[in-house]
Amino acid sequence: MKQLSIKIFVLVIPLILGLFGIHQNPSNILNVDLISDQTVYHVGDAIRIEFKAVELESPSLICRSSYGTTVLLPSEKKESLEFILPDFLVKKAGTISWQLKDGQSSLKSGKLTIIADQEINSIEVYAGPPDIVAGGEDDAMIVTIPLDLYNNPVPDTSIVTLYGQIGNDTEIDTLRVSNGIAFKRIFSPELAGRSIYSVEGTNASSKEIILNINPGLPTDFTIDFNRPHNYADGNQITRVQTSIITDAFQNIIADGTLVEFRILTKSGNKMISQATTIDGIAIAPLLHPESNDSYLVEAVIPGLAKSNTVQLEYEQAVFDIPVTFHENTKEIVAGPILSFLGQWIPDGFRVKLKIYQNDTLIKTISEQTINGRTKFMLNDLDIPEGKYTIKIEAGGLIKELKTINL
Amino acid sequence: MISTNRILLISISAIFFVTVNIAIIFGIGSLVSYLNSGADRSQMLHANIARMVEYTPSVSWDLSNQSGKRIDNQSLGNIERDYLNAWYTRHLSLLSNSVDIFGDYYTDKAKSDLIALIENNRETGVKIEATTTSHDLKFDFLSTDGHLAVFTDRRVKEFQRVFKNEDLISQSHYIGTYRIIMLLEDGFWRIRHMMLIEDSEEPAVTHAIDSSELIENIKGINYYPQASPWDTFGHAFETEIISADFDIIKNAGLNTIRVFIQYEDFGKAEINDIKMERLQRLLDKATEKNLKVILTLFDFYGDYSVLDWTRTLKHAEGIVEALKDHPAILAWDIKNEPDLDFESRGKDNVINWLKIIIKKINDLDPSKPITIGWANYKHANNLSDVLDFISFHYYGDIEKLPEIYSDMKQEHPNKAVLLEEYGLSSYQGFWRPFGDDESDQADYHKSMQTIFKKNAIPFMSWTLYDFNKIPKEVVGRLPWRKRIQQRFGFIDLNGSPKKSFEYIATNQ
Repeated sequence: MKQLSIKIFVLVIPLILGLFGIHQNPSNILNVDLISDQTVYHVGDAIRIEFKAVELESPSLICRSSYGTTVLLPSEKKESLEFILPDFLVKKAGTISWQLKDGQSSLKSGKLTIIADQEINSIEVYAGPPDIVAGGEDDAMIVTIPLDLYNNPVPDTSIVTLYGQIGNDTEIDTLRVSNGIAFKRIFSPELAGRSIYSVEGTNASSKEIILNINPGLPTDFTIDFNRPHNYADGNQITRVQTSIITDAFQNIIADGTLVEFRILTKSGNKMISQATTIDGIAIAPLLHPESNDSYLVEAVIPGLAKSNTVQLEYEQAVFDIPVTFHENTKEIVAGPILSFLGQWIPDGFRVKLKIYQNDTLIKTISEQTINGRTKFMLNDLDIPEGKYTIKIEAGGLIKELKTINL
Repeated sequence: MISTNRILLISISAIFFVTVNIAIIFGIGSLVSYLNSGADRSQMLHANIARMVEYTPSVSWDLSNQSGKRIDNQSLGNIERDYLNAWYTRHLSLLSNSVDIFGDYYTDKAKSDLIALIENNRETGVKIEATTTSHDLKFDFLSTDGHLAVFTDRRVKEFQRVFKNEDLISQSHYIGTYRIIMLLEDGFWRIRHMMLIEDSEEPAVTHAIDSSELIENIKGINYYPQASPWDTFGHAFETEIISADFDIIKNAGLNTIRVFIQYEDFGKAEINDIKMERLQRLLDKATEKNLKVILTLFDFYGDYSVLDWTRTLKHAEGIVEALKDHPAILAWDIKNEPDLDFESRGKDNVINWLKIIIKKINDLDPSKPITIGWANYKHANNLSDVLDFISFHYYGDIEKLPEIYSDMKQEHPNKAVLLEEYGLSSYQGFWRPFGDDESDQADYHKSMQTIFKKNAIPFMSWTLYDFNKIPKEVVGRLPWRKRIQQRFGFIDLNGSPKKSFEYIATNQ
């Protein structure tokens, strides 16, 4: 019995020890030595991670890189265990951390850094906003990402040069790369127009960058007018015109800016006319009134700028309305109405006929003159027979026909 | 008189006619809806691209020290959304080795770098299953026109499993730092440059709260209201019922209850406010009645896949953040009986998931002990280094319990061991004619209490009530299983204490 237990003991102990041996962390047994101790590489360099030859069952190298993880197999080489990093890994700057595996067990791990090329091969530029307002308050930014041959942002502290053509001036500026980008804030010049920029690096230039410098907000302006004559003939046009409207830096404001002309008549009526600017000037045409009047005109760009006030005087052009009543045809003829030179008033002059019965207005008819005259056919009006008073109004004058039988 | 045959004929024709008509209308309807499908305006404007709620790692931003234009919240939200989408689509691509998923979130040049790697992985049979759980972002720069952003993603916590020809060869946690340049193109923030600048494996942390004293005094019970088993916080929730039940429990000499939080029920990643409020009320009641609560999370959860992690982490965060200062909570129980999923879901998957949740909860609430309610005591050595006390469920032979318990104590000398579930069904009937009856159940509990007293075993029995209905998720649809599950209670369906009630605790 005792012998048996000794036998068992002798048999079992090595077995247990053996088991322990197998279960130990393999890295303790397999002393995998890294031959390639370089940890910093230049982008594009061939990278080999090499270990002293060891017999492994299924060696692989797990590589974590910027864009994800991949697994490499050793290259066919007898004297050492060697992994060659593929192109897409060696061409990306950044950190690669690797882990040598044999099946599931980790044997060794390490890190290496790939540094981007100092040499700039291409420059990406992003500029915006593309339109800014002149005067130095507004700004745009030019951001550049200088890239090396393999499309990596170049290392921080690299330098690019920014060239700018602003009007007739040339500007040169040195920008330092930080966090992969180099940027410059550009405040608008006083002069509207276009600024052109470009960026240059050691070996590359950027595309042309254009910033539109738009004029700023309009400033106060003046208005003036011109007209063929100053008579209130209801026919001619007075043109009210602004001076050239500019921003604070004498840049002509953008075409199409809406100017509002506000008119106050003698009788207190308010009228509005609108016009848009072309080359900084807005023109509002005003039709002459039909009777004497006085206009106060002011122009505004609502909320931003306004003009002086001008006064427009219109003299009476018509002094008399000859009226004839034809009893038998029940027809009233007003005219010839004569204008300021004694000529027939131009066609389209408004004449109003008002019919009253016992001081009550029962009908109003409005007609326009042709050849200085207007005809009213009262028979067509469909009003009962009786006595009526008729008033004819034109150019601010009133003619009255009393007790007319219709 | 119309013959029966004729009536039959008429009815058959009528039914046939109606059926044919329904079929025709249905056919026309499908055709019309088919013709109406396709691109619409909202698609053109990306208006319908919903935020991917599948991916919810925790994100924080540091906006101090930012150059360029000051970033506003709206733009920051957009950048964050598209950046996370970029990660999520990248994970999906690396998992499936497919290159047409991440289109909207990388610029063409960045895309070609990613494609090179994925194609290489596809050719060499490599598959990467990865997720990130935390991003600590430092915003560096925004251009004046708001179209170019530079930021550093510091300490990205990333878990990664590497497969070669379908064999798992590595699984590790990493902490990496990336420098990111994004461009706003076509309404999407796209990654233009992404550079890993630091990377290291995350050291495993062990959790150590000495909770022995707390746990060893537990005399408890697993609790569901009688009317709403497995649905404590549903429509039937009433504080009065909870209060009355807690009185019963307290007066029976117990000091702890175990309550279950169902993952889907509580809203997955976005915690359901109504349920949360009910849970708060339950905990308040427990405080009032001087009862402690072990909260079991993730009940009925069973996905465990790496890409689902961020959602479960967000769920855990939502619950733990809200409740960590509640005085009633004694401990967090990560999941009920996860070892039952070992076979169907893969032990690795389950263990990895449990680990990440343990870590998260430990980070959020370092002061409370964490445990897992193992179904089988043999699985209780899993993760014991990161759990503060060991919990197991035992429905086996009473005789063997003392030995099993003392073995477990020996194996984990520095940790308390809690018998978190035990019990006996008193169902004797059609499906189990020779089963245990109420007297057997009473004897069982009597013996159990003796064992507990003798061996100083902290215990939590299953369960207070007999139940009327058992949801199919618990024991399946089979009636004999359901019947048995219905009769584990100390109190029967009429509300009267069963014989076993006398032995609900030792001091009675």
